[in-house]
Amino acid sequence: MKLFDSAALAVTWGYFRESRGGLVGLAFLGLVLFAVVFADVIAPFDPALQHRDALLLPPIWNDDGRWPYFLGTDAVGRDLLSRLIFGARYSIFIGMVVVSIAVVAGTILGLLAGYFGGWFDTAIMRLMDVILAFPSLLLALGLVAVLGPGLLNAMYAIALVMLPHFVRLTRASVMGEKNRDYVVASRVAGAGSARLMFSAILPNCMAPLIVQATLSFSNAILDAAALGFLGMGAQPPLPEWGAMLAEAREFISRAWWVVTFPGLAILLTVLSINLVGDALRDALDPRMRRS
Amino acid sequence: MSLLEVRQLSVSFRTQGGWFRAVEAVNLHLARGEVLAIVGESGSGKSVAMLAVMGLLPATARIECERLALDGQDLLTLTPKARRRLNGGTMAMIFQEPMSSLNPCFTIGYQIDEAVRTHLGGSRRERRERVLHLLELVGIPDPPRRFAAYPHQMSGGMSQRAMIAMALAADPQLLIADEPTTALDVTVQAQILELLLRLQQERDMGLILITHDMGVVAETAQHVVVQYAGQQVERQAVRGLFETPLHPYTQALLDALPERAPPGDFLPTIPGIVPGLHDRPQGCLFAPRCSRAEALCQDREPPWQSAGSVGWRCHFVQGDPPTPVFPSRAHPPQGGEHD
Amino acid sequence: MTEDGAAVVLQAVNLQRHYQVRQGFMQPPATVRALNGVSFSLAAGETLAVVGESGCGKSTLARQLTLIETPTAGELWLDGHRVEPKRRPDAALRRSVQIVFQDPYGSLNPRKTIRQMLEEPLLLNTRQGRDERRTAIAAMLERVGLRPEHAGRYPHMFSGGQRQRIAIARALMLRPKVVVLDEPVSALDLSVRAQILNLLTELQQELGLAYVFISHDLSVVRRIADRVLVMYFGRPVEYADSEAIFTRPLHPYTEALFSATPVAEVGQKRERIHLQGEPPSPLNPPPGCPFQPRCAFAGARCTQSVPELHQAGAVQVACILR
Repeated sequence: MKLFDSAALAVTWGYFRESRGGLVGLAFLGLVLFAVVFADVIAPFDPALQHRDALLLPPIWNDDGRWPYFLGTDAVGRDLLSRLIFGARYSIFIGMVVVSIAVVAGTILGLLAGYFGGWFDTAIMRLMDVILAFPSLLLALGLVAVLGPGLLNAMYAIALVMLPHFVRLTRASVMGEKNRDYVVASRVAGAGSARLMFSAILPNCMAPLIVQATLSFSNAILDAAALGFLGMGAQPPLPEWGAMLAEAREFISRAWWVVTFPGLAILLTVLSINLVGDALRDALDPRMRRS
Repeated sequence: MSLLEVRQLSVSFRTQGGWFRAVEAVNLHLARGEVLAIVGESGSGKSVAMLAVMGLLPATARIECERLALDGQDLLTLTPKARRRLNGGTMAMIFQEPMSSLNPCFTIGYQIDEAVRTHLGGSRRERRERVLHLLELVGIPDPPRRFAAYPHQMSGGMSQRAMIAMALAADPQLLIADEPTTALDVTVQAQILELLLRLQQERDMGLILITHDMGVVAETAQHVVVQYAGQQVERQAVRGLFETPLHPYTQALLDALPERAPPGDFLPTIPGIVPGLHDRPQGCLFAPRCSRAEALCQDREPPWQSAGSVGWRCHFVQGDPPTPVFPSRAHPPQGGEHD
Repeated sequence: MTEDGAAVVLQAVNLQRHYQVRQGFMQPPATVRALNGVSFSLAAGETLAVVGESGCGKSTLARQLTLIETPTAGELWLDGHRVEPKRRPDAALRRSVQIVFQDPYGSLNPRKTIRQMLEEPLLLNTRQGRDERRTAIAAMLERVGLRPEHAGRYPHMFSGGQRQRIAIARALMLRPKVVVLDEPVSALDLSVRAQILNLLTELQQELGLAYVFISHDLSVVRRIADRVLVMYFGRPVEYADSEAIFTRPLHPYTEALFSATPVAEVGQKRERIHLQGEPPSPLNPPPGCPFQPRCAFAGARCTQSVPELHQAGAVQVACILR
């Protein structure tokens, strides 16, 4: 089952290209991905390596800065730039794992709820309502408190908190497509429920799911950073950007660079993903297409 | 007295593949109290042309027109605000899908009142009276109850009547109806058409009826314009069109109607399909599908010619009165031809 | 069972389909009788036209005939086999009947290639190998007037008429005996309608198909139908051979329907039967004959009982006055 055909992909790319924000975001993301893949090669130092002789050095354009610590060092002498580069791995990893879990589980639940309806639908949707009733970060925090602090547990928690959005989205799409003629035609040809759900209906619900997945990616990074900041996510000495922020809290007045650069990294990455997501939504929206 | 005058109207849309000519060199004259039908299939540009006259096209459309006048007033030189005041005021339009043309969030009464408020003003009570009067005029039973009804509570026929009421709110001189009955059942269609004609006669309105149903044309129109791929190809009084269609396309269209086809298993067909953006032929747009076509038709685009109120766009129609391309009405059916 | 030598492939006996509709929090559910006693028989190579307006039950009938739903009461016989009411229809039954829809733009899955769509019935119901399937698809595409290389394309690349051809091809992949056509040409341009109707006629003659042709376009019905079933409010009101019913319709509703249809001839301002009002709500059926509130000839007796189809000359009609 082909999800895309190359002609449709080309048309989508044509529309995407028109959004300057989308292109800028895509470029920056490309940079981040490059850092993720080639971190070992391009980072000047090992992120955990402590240089006792270079504690809290400012960035290199400052008078007290020292080569080769481009962006300075933190309180225990670790090179900031290297930590940022390796930290990209954690953020992208977190985003991918969280979104994957949420998309797969959410889509399946949404498909079942939308297709079968009845009490099954009611049960799933009320469960999703319960999850949505909690402030997302609070719920994630509670789950992590129960499961124990750590990056993996934080990811499970965030994935759960994101689930309802995908369930709702898929369910709405399924309910809209379920009664279309082509689905009925498949039924008349003898297709069973499973085939109808996955082969006939699901591919037609992909557009909103893709957009939501993209935007959830950025949310996942933010939430993981927040949990890390609170000490409930990634634990030191992992160079996860949120955890870096937590460690740097006490140095805001003394050594602004230890706080600013991780924060900036989070900001720019999340912004890029959002720009890409918005451009993608416009590109995939059939109403915005010119005939 | 000329109500609507359109000269050389052309509309193009910007698409990914370049500019698309949806309407080309359309001319219309409508007098007060006259019923004109514009006939064509999909891609003929009939709806787009009328939307251009109403000023309802999106900004991506490029409109070129030599003259566009309503009751003597030049529409091309009006400010957008003045133009908007005409919409629903002097000229009104009703559309094909009554269920989606009405806002589902507001009651019928509220929506018709909106039209009254915009164009006539008046106190709340005066407006309500007028809305109730309009509902009665269009044959909606129990107007006070329907005033507070929502569109989804009404059937297709009722919704279309409500749309007509909205269009008539400010006593327009010109009413454009874009396939008003296509989405309705046939008995409801008969009611709506009868209503439109009665209202048109009572108020001496000009009525432009856009349709693809030749039966509707035969029973309601006085004059007919046939459009193909954005161009006008024939204009005649309705009797003349059905008895001696001039243009090969009109001829073929009438022959393809099941009720006019000679008895037998197979119906006459027109081979090929309407040209789209990418396959517009040089010369006559209908030539690739025309059984009379010659090399001349591919080389030179036929100009619009007219004799009195009759007009045509074909190299082979000559004279005054003009003779049709296929003089005998029954030309042999071409069975079973495919795309 | 045979009739005039041709095998009867579809027989409906007093088909009924009721739906339970929730009425609100405290109220009991209401019963909507969407189909209320439809009977007919259809032989191979014949076309039965089902004529009626919105709410008459023709879509419900289509769903019963294509085995998407099972009737609440009554019998349905497909190719000599009875359709068991509560059981899922087996593959053999499913192969005997297929459907072509009205809207060529919604009846094809936009995300599948033509090949995938035409292959699906074969994959689900036969054990044919890949090459066999490919050959069958190519042959069918040519049969409906398309080229085999079109199989790799997506629906949006085709015009309305071509999509309808694809839909017809899909319906014929399993070589059904009966094809239900739900307004197959209503959404097409005039010039394309004739092409598709001709194709359907060719295929019927070649493959001996039986058509159930649902339409509101009487000029089309007159050309291609052998028998006509007129429905109103879930009931049959007239059932006759095409010639008989068009020469002299008996039921007041049929007369009104015919009279309301515009004819492409100028100067034929006929005495039109003005049908006022709208069809009644299924939740609130009128007493007696469902048509009597709008019938010009209705009398006191019409509210007392629901008329059944009875033979009156060449037609069967459900009216106590005829």
